[in-house]
Amino acid sequence: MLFLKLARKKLLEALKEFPEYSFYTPKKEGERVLLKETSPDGLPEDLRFERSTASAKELLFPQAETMFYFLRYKPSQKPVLDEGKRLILGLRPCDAHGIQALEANFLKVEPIDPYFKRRRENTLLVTVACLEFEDNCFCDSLGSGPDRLNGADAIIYDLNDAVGVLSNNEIISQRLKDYAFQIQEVRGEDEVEKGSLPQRTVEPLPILSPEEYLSLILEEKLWDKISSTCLGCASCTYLCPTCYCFDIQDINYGPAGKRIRTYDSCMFNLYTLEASGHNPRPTLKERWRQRFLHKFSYIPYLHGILGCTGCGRCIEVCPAGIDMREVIKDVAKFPR
Amino acid sequence: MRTDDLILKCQEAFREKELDLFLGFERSSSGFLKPAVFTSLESLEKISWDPSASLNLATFIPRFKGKKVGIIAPGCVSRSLVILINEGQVSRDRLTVVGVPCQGLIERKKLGDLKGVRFLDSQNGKFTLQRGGQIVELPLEDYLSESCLDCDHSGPVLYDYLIEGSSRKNPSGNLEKRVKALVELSPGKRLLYFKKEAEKCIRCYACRQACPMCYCESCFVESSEPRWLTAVPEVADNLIWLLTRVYHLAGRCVQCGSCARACPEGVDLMSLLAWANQSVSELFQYQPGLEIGEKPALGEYRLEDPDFFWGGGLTEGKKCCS
Amino acid sequence: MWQNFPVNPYLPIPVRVEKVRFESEDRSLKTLWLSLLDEEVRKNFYFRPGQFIELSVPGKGESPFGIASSPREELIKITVNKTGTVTRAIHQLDQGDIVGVRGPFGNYYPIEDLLGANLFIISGGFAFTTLASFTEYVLQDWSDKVKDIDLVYGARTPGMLLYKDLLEEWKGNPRVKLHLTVDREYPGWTGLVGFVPDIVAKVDVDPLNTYCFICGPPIMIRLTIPRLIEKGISKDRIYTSLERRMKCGIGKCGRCNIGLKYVCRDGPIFKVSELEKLPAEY
Repeated sequence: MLFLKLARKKLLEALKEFPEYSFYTPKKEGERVLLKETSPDGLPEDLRFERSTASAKELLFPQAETMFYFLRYKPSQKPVLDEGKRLILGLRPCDAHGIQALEANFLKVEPIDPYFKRRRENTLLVTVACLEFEDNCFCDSLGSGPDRLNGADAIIYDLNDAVGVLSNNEIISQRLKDYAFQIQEVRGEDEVEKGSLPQRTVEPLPILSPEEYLSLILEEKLWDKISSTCLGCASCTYLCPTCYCFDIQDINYGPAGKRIRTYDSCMFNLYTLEASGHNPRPTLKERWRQRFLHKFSYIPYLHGILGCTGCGRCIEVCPAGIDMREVIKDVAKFPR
Repeated sequence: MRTDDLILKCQEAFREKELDLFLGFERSSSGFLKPAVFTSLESLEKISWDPSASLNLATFIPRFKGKKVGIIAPGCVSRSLVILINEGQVSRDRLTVVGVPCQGLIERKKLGDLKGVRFLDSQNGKFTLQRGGQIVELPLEDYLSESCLDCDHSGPVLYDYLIEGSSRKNPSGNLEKRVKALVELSPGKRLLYFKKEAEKCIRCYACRQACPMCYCESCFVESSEPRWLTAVPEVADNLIWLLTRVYHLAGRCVQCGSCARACPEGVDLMSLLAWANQSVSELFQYQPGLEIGEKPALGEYRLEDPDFFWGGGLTEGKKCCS
Repeated sequence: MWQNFPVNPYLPIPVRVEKVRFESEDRSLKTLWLSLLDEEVRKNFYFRPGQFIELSVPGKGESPFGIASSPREELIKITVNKTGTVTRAIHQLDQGDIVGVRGPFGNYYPIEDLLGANLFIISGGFAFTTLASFTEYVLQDWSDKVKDIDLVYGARTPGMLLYKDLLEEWKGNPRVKLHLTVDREYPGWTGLVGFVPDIVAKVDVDPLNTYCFICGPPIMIRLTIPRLIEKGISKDRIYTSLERRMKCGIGKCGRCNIGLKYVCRDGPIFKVSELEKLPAEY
């Protein structure tokens, strides 16, 4: 892993070393902050980017993507892989954590998902250590922090007149080398100069072990209480950086068509409804259990990584004002 | 309105009417009100009501079929309840309504960078927010939902108990003006405007779930035979979703703004809904949710209903029927 | 398993419908025999009884079906109940039509554990598919390695029983004790009458040397399990196959997740002792 120090101007200059990549950064558009393609010339020198409304997952695992085209009456199909190379700049460390959770599902367990794999291979994820906390984010309460690399390809630290780039990615470190005034071989975030990170008193959150959460799986009363005011929409899961559940559908254009996959949400009734009319998760109680335990028990148990990044998006968008931090506390309070 | 009065009145209702549960709001850790289901007299001590609430509580009503439910209701919620009663979704005798005055609700998206800040309280047309040691006082009028600014029925129309207090007066008429301006646009420009709005939609259906009138057990978007639209959030399909919902709500929507506040992407839902309601109001001289026992405008056929879309061709038919 | 798809596990492999047959009197159940088009793929296609495939009708979608044929057979047999968009489209397929298949997916009945044991196979309705495959396979290949087979199979009416040709064949096999039942008396029916759990209660088995396999509607499974436990059979020896709305078949899309398990990848076959630790989301 390399730590490179660059003059602030040099970093922007060095971006021309990535001619085959299109640049994506968070950009404010009306009330929303979108991840949009942008020219490397127009990047803000202070590296201040707002947190995107939707999480970074949409660039690697878009809400809808074509898997293959087919001819309806012939055994012919053409898979579609996204070959575009992207450099995403200005994400937050929590976004990178989210991508890690997606990698766990799509890349760490056989068989590998070819669509996600190709996009991930073609993407350089460059995060910026947070300059400020958001009002509702809580990664620090989850034992992570605004300075973590979290599986990004590089993280940039603001060192006042210079910037520090920590990267374990060959392409990035090789191409930035000539622009750096100092290069250090390091083992991780804790060995590097990080400038001034945002400070606040950490609000402690009682995060249990995956096994302890698992032991609550049959506690109907708990899940009933937690889900009592949930509306069953998908604003939380669609914007969540770690939610990856999807649906597969066919779309027809006369004799041809395409098979697509789109986000789906465990909060929807239709998600588990079977053709017979039987629904194994008939109410919001079962759906909330699924959503909560998937993030806090199943993903950590199976992949050793927390399925919640603490980005706070679900808290901000929930039309019923459900606050994941309060849910975490309520669950921990429940007698085990 | 004093919170103590509210608590006492709700507890009184809970006791006297032997309710199974009570729908209201309680303070969340962010200070903004969040919906809560109260199931005991003691728990009702936490009930609260102020402009930091967002959701129309009537949306929960169909969930509690067969239960005796209490609910706090400002004007829009009481009108939604009237419609739910008229449409057979809840019976009046199972419903206990505590009417509350309403000064309008805050649209958090208008708070911009302050949307995640702690809400402290609201009085005398102002509200206060707190971030760290910093306290900001803001005029309520500048941050109210568009629907609330335009509200012409802020006080409850249906109640069993009433909390005294003043409700917001003088609807701004801005939404109406905005709709008029959109109607006056050329069709091409209007389409462009709504395409831009539809582009934002991520089809999370927060609008539908936050809407008390969207109570269908199976929504048309979920139908697979026929499949009306795909799950792909592209403009064309999003428009089908947004417009069809508006048509389903024409003459049933009380313009509470619950859907618009729930939308995570800030899609302009209000102009469409207001347009549909205005049309129904002009055509049928009908305003939804004001009278129990009334039939919905589009759920009833009257001989004197306008039939301009047939170019008058039905006049003969009318003779036939009469 | 997914070694059949070296590149892209979401791409269906083309199959031809070789034969179709209505299975039930009300024509709601249709059996299809499929053959893989590609010679190379066919040679390498390998499955075990209990596994399922995703059958794909381009333009309509995909649905999971348990494989009903024995691995010994040339053609892949599935039986399809007409309930939704995809199954309706499958019912319209005829001989010569070309569709797609992904799979086989999931785990399989633990045939290696059964040396010297009795098998108690219990099924209801059209969920008999994978158990028919299993029974046939055991009789073909493992006949000398297992002891007796008791098979309880019930349907609403005699006309709704699947695979009457196979049932007829097994009737003549001394290794199989066949307990066929229908829900109520029916003109011309000479077999048992009653619901599957009640018939199961009456079958005499050696509790210490019997493995049970249940496949049927959720309510039947729920009522049958206690009957087996009453007999003194260990929960580790009672297996059931779960049905969930599976889409991807490879544990990615998330919808068949129950606790730490994915029905499509870790199941569909679970021991009752495993199920007890999971919420009853099936």
